[in-house]
Amino acid sequence: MPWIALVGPELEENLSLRYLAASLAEAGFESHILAFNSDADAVAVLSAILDAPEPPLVVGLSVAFQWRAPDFLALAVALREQGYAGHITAGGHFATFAAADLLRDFPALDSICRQESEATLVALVRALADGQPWHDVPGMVSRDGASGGEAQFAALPAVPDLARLPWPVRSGEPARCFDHGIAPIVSSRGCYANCSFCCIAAWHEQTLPGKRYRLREPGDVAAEMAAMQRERGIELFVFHDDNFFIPNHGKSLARLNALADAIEAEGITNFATVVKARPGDVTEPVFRVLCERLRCIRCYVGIETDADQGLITLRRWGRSSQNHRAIDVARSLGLFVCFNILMFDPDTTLDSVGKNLDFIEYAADYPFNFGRVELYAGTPLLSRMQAEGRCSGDYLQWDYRLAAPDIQRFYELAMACFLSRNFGEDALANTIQGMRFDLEIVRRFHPEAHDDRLYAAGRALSRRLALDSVATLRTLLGHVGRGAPETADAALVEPLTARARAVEAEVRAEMLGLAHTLQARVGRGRPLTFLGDRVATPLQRAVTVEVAS
Amino acid sequence: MSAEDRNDDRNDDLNDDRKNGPKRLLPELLPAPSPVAAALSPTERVAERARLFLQRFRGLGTAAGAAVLSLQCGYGVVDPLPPPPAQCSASPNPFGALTASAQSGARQGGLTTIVLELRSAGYPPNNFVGYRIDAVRVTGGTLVATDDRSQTGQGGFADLLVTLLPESATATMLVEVDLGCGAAVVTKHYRVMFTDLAPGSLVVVTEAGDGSDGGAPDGGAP
Repeated sequence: MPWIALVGPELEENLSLRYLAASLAEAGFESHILAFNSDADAVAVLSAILDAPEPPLVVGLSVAFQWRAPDFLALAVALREQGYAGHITAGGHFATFAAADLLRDFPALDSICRQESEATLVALVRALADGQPWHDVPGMVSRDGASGGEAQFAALPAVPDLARLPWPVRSGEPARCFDHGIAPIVSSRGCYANCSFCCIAAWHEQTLPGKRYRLREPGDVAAEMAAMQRERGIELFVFHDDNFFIPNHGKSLARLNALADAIEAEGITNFATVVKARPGDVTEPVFRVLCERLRCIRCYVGIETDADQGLITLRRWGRSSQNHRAIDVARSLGLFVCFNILMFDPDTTLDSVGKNLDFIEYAADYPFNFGRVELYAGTPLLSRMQAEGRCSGDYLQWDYRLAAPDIQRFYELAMACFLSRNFGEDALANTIQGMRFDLEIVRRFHPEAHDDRLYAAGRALSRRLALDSVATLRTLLGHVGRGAPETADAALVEPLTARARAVEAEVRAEMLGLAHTLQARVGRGRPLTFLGDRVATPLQRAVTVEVAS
Repeated sequence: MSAEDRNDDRNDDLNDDRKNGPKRLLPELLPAPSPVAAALSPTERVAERARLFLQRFRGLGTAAGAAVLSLQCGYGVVDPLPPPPAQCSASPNPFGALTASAQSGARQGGLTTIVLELRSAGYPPNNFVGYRIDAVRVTGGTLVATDDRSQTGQGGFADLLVTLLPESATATMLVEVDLGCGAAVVTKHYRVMFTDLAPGSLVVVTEAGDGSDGGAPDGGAP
């Protein structure tokens, strides 16, 4: 029987691949999900395909992330070199936006499946299995033989009806925290916002211009949750919706209540949720229902920037006051939130950095990370930067310099100080979120093991790290802002960096001690702090730096 | 048809992905900014990575893998086999083909070494060899060794390694490398940044211009 190899990241259950696998299964095709979490998995993936008793009819590559694209393309090249003669297709956000470039430059690829590809992939596989033409399958991008191989785009199919899509395949063991099963889920697809740096809105704009947001029925979502709890013991549901909330507080409230009613009707009693929100979503009435009825224990709030300049550049459709309100509401409800700050964007000034530092200080009891806006395929920001002639690199990886020499200098000094804290091996800015999560799991599921002093100690740890980051950045900001000579940079950065590492060592030691204490008090499973220590590593190891001469 | 009807037994027909390893809960990770290896085209960068995958798949070390790739791999299926590299002296901008990267190396005397690698592409138009290191000067560390691992066969490339021992695990080194190519010489200035250095740590290299035009190098900000 022909089978399909679905290759993609599986650090957590990859819903895009698992939705595809479910649609293939419904159509009668067997598929295997092959985890390709980093280049270290390449040999295992090659072996699974090349050493199989029967080679797969199709290899599908999930190229959602631009920075992972070279890995997936190299895998395709290596498969061909080893003689794999089946069909290789790619899909996902990056593959969709870069389809013409990829088909031009990589003969190893036969096709690209654009957009939400459940129907496209099934139709492609069916055509190949039947020996029928496949180039005109809706959603397909192929090479046009008549025009010398230029990309030929078939029309897009109708977007999948979320009420009819089979639920994603849930094979394999789920993630666990203190032995509580964790699974991702989506209750919607799409994004109604218009952020300049994000490819998700651009992606959905291709298929549903102006109406980019589709919701599942609450009853269907609750039924999937109930099935996962019944069949796999899942208790923690991580909603990966780009917009879990509707851009109308009254409608959001109604939808959350409807979902809570449906969950109750399904008889799910022991559970918790994790969601993401835009700052404007966070109001007291909506979040009270989120916390009390949907038992949310963690919300990622997409702050991104608190500077007026950044809010405009990034097209956040929000205001600083909404960012502050989001933090205030979380505090009032005792909800654990975390956030990222895109400290550096193409228009960032020293003043906007100062504004963001003020915000981080305001919200210092919640973990955060900061970085630079990267330029992703399909985004309005990339188009703008290309039009302004400010991009270097190519479609696989764009780079740029910040607008003014002083902010570029500050950025480079900041990266020198914060590389390992924010991005490096076991980056503490990420792992400390795991420790805070552990505290929430204990508070929700093991009240007998919860201790207010431990909880406060955990919060104090992340506050200490946050304030240390702010203090270090302010020192650098002052140095650059007063025009200190560049020859003084190294003398400033070296002790600051040493101090930062010393603070991290202390915080990490206390964090691990706290996690051990929690583990002993709970008496089952392992905390996320231990698992999370390894989470960031494979994703970030790929960035060891090459610099053009 | 109910939702559960739609999904009844669907998992039974599918391969169990248990071998994929334990799943995690991912935080919203920010990408680490990384400069672009501008000297290499997308196809060149991908081909380099494919070469690495194939070496590992065939269970070969780097040197042996490169040799076998030249003889057997062929890249004939999807990409043409690259020609042997040209001598750098044939290039009007011989040193423009070299890119720099660095990684942490072996431990030595309680400290972790750093290997600065200067490399050309294995594919045209930047597949040159024939470079030499005339001298290395280090501020904030010491020079341990230099090594020339360039390969001249098909798919070959320049590969110059400079092993450095930093003065501390948390610092910045300034490295000046005098490079030669026939009669042409240049001094490359690199800033090597690292924090909490240990095997596997990230190491950042930025280049601060070169002295090939006789002007003063831009040795300030990276």
